[in-house]
Amino acid sequence: MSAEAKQDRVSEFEEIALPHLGSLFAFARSMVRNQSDAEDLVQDTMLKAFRAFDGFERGSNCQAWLSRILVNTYINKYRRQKRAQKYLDEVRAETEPARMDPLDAGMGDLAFEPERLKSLVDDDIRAALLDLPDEYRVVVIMSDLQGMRYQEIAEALQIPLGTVRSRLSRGRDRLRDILHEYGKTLGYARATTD
Amino acid sequence: MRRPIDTDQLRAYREGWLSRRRSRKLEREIEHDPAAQEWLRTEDALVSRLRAMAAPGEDLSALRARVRSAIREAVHNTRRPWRSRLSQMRFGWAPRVALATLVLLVLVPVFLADAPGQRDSILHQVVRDHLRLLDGSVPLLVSSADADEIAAGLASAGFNLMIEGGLKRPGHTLAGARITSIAGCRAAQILLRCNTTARLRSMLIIASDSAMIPPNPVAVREENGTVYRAYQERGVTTVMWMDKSGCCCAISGELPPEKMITIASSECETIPEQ
Repeated sequence: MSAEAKQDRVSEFEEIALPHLGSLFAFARSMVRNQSDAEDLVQDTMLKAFRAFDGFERGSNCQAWLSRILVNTYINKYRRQKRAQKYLDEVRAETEPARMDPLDAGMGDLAFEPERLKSLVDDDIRAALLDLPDEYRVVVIMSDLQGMRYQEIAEALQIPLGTVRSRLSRGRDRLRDILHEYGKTLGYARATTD
Repeated sequence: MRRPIDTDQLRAYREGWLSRRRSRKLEREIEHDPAAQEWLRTEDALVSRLRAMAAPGEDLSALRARVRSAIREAVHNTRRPWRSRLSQMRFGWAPRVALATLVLLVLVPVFLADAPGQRDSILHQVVRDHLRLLDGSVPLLVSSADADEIAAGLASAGFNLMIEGGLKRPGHTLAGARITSIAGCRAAQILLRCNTTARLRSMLIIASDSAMIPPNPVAVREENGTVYRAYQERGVTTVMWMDKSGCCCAISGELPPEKMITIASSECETIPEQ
């Protein structure tokens, strides 16, 4: 490939893919714990996308294509590191009898309502997202953060439409549960400091 | 007294997954159900909150520059001296045919020897599923042939290997282990590769704090004095049985329970006695 052709390819890629950098970064930021990991993930994704750019059908949904690459990159690079411990925790949580949360003592149940959601900062919500199992989190992020349509998600993840819906549903339920717990903790902290 | 509306129904209504008729009917029910209205308001608030997080407040110019620079570097590094030299060489047809024949002679026997499943499509699928489990599509505790590493991982997860007689099986090499949950019981599935047939088999260890045999199998079949019990978790069917040496074996795959039991019984018969 001549230097000119290479330059054209780079320019075309930058023109098509770089406008999605912001949404890709938001996606990555919700998938990993810190900003620098998110930047690394975006960079790796963009590099892979560039290498695979010849296979990208011009005019098709670039955001969905980049999202799929990001998910695959994430699975290959980051998930392996934390999978064992996280899964162990999950299995333990599923099989061990539920324990009484000490925060519950004397607090009563604080209903999870829209007002309570306002008291949580973005970092709380991001942390709650990170507590979701990967398969739920990816779908929730694609749908609710990225605003992707269900069909696009199904195509990007190569899963049936029904699976997208059920994962989104389970994911949101879990997210609400986690945020509810956060809310309780926040309420408890306020109650003790007041 | 009116029954509370199921949250799955509410979500389906909110997301527009219901038919128009069902949606209208539910709408009328919601009007008389303050809890459902509250649930929907919270769902709206949650989704709006998530949407708002999609617009990053950070300045992305540094990241944009970094990505651009990485792409340009990648373009420069695509030149491989050996490849350009090779592309400049001119081969006649005879060396090309010779090279192709050599590649075929070397690769075809390796490929055939490496594909035992081709002889039996169902078993091939099971082996592939096992490999997929090993590959990491299903969470795996450790993918290692190192018995000590696997033993340490299992011990830290609360599995008592002394009771089960350790991990070693004659004629087999350890391939990995995963912790799974079978009918609510914690179980460790240890994958072994037969040294002679390359076929994968697995032992199953139920955690000492659980029942020895998980309750509520989705299917049970007895054949030649062996009882096969099938369980389903996360879309994966696991069939467990006791082999003649008293070792608890298991096989997993994404197939219906009855089919998996048939495969398990066939596997049980083909596995040589230790």
